[in-house]
Amino acid sequence: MNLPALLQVRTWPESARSLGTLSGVLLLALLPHVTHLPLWIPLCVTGAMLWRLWIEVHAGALPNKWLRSALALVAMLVVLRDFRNLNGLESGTALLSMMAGMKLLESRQLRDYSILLFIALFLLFAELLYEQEMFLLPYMLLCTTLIVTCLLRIHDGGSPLGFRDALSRSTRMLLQALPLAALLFLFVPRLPGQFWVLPSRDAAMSGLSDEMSPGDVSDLSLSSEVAFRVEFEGDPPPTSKRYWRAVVLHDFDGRTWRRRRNEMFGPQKIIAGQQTYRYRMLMEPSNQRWIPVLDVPLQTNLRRSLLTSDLQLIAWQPVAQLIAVDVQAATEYQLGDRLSDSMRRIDTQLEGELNPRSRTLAREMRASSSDAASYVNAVLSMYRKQAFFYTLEPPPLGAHTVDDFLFRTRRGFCEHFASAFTFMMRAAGVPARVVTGYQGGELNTVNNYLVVRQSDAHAWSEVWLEDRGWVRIDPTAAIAPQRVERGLESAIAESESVPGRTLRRTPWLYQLRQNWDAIDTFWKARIVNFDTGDQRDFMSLLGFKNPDWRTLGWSLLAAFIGFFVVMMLWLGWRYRPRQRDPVVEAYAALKRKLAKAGVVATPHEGPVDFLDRAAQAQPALTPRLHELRDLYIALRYQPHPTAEQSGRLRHLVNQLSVKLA
Amino acid sequence: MSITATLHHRIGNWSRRRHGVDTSPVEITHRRIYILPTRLGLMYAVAVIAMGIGGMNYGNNLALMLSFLLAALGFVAMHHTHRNLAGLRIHEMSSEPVFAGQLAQLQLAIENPSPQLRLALQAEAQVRTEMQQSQAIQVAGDTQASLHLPLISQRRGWLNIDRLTISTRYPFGLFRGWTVLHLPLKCLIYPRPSERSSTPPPTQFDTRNTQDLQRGDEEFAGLRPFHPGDSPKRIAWKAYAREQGLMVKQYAGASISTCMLDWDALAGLDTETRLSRLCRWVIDMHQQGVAYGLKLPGFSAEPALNEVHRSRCLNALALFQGGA
Repeated sequence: MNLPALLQVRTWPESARSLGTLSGVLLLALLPHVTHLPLWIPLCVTGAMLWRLWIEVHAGALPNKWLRSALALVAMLVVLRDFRNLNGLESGTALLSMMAGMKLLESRQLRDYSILLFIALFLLFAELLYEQEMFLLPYMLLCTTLIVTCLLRIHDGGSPLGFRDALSRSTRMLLQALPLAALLFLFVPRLPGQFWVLPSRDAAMSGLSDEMSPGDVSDLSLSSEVAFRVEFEGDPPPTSKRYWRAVVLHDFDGRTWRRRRNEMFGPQKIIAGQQTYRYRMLMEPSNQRWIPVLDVPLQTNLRRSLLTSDLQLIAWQPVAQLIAVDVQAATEYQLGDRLSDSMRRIDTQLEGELNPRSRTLAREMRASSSDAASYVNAVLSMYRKQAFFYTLEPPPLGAHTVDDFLFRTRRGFCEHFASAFTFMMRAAGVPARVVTGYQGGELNTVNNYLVVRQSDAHAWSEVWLEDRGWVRIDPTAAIAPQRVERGLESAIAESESVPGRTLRRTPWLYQLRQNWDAIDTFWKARIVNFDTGDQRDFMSLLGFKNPDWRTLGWSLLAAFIGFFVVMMLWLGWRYRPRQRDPVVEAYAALKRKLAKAGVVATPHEGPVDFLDRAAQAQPALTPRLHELRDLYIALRYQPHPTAEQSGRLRHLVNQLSVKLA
Repeated sequence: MSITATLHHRIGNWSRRRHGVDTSPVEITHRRIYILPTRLGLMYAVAVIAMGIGGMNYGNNLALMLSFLLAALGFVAMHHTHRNLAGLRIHEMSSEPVFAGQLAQLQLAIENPSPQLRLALQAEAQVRTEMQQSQAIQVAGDTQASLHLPLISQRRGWLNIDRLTISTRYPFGLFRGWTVLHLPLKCLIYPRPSERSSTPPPTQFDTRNTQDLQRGDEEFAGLRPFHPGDSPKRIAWKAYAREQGLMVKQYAGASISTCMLDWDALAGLDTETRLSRLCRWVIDMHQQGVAYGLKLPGFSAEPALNEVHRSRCLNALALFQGGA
């Protein structure tokens, strides 16, 4: 199975070339999976292909049944060991790929490889479950065309249909299928939400985590990937008011803030201000369950989700696909009217003896403040007055993270400020919690979508003040107000690197990105996120009032029947027999008449031989038949046959009455 | 019988009732085309439905697009399978007789009156218990092509094929379209010749001094044009090489050996062995250029030596009824 030997063969046998094409197509379907499969899988498949091609080129023997079974078993065990399951998306993909490799080694007949092409289709399908980027549409169409072409070549009955001919035939058939596929896409009713999710090995978390450990290394804020996009009805709120709450962290062990394991539910009293915002959010898959919302959600249309009492919107299943959520939210509000004792205990607890200096400082400062609100202001003014720095490259912190930060390093970003602030509140007996989410976002002027990237991730505090409920306090704003008003980039010193800084300072490049993002948003909002609502809009466009699934069903049926008829007529027209030649018709009629009298033309007989034989068999008609013969020959072979001759021929044939000889 | 075989059998019977016995040429109209998904087609359907459910569950529109496209393609493929068969004309063709145990070739001409290429056409027939299948052929637009259905028969006599299917799995093997023809096709099977080593024909006599231009083999008497049926041994290849056309050497035989192949001379053997022996003799005599006659109960042929005579004798042997 050495590659040089394989390449030495100048002219491959036809079967090897077909096999090569097939293998290539399979590899093409496998290609996008290299990013989420361990490398040994595509390598094994490629190895099996090369081995099989070597066998074909050198007319060697296929591996026997025992070897194949052993290989299959090993492949399955290795997949099981690597993925811990066999029914997950990754493990399923891995298993399918390995099966394709096995199938290749199994058979000599090309037609047995139809299954291989089905596997290629499934691999393509699995890739689409991972991501739905725009480039995947042309890629999917290309792969499908090639797979279908291979399938056609397997079933062309051993005819010498070249690759190009097969390609043009299958492309035409796919084009014919396209209208029906589009109708199915428009009319097949969609399900609301997902019912099951394949277990995933390492649902590669992107975005926020449900933990926060200031002092540990974090590279989250450096990613310029899009977290979600928002389209507001009307004007969006100003940048400094765009706080997207996602996760609320209550538990602190001295180093790490965590979500509560048992979420608390129950109604919260919300008094919303006059100003509310309605928007639609397109959220990129995060493989996590929480969904960021603008401040206080009053209403959402997200099904299969829960709203906790601390206003986290949590989906039943991790968000593995792009979703769209319609939300009504308020940025002016009073949240909560009474804090239960258990909540007060949770949000004031500080376990252990860590950070003693901060605790002492907190107690002193609280004692000198008249109430909780003035204590909050005192802590914030401490941040402002002392030499605290906003930086994305803070020095690491020791065991007493808060003490270290407040008294030694004094350099950090949102996490450090929020963590230390919340600690100070709790140490003085003021209930407080950390909220993480996103802040800001960039308005794309091309389509008026607000784009929120992972680099907009942010952390702040919420403090319980009697009479005012939960109040958001963003300590970062005290040190670096630019961060909140104009985004991360403006808050960072020139010497530090920030994603997208060069981009933003190159106008044409920036415009290009805006345009591209607008296209991408259109793709995601209109195509990837086409849903029941869009179907309803489309149906009303067609003139249906109050369309429901029954209307969709009938439209689907009508579309099917319409397609059936059009397809039949179109193919019938393409396959229609050629316009008949009157001379040929007349000769055929003559043959039919003679056949009735027992003079049957044999396939190898020409008209002269046949009519001479007929003249012998029917002596009474001899002169007529001879004239017919001469007329036919003249009409066929004379340079300029006349219309009279043709008419005479037809007349003679019509007049001819043949009796049984 | 498997379910599909039973189903095909039923459809065959139904087609017979609907269309009766056909006469050549048969046009495959849309009313006599049957179409069903193949096993591969069912697998394809299951795969596409699984993709559809998966895409639906995840609300993944791109995955749904793929499954809808594949579903629509299956539908289009069905139309193409149908069209690949529709409008063809099947012409009956005579088939060459063969000896029992040899492969007979049932021939059909398939005429394609449309301009489109027809691919992967196959004929199938059930011969006694076995299903015989032809090679797949293609027929270009406005032409005709012949299709050979190999038939193995161990028994002499007429091999009747009264039901024949023409089928196709073009384009993707997802559907099989077929039509059932009830053409009275038959092929003559000669008896199986016995071993070459068996005894030569016993009766042999000379008819001296009879001048017979056709059957002499002693003195060369000139050339005459070839007629179908002349023994290939007598073709004057040298003359052919001189581009004088295909000529046959004529002899004015002073002595012609003639033999009589007689059923009664093989008394004591059973019918089929006798027929096999006689069949072998007919072949050998024809090859050796010895004029021979054949006597069977109820049939007799005067000695002669040509192709027509040979087939007449072999026909008689093939269709012989009675005997001991």
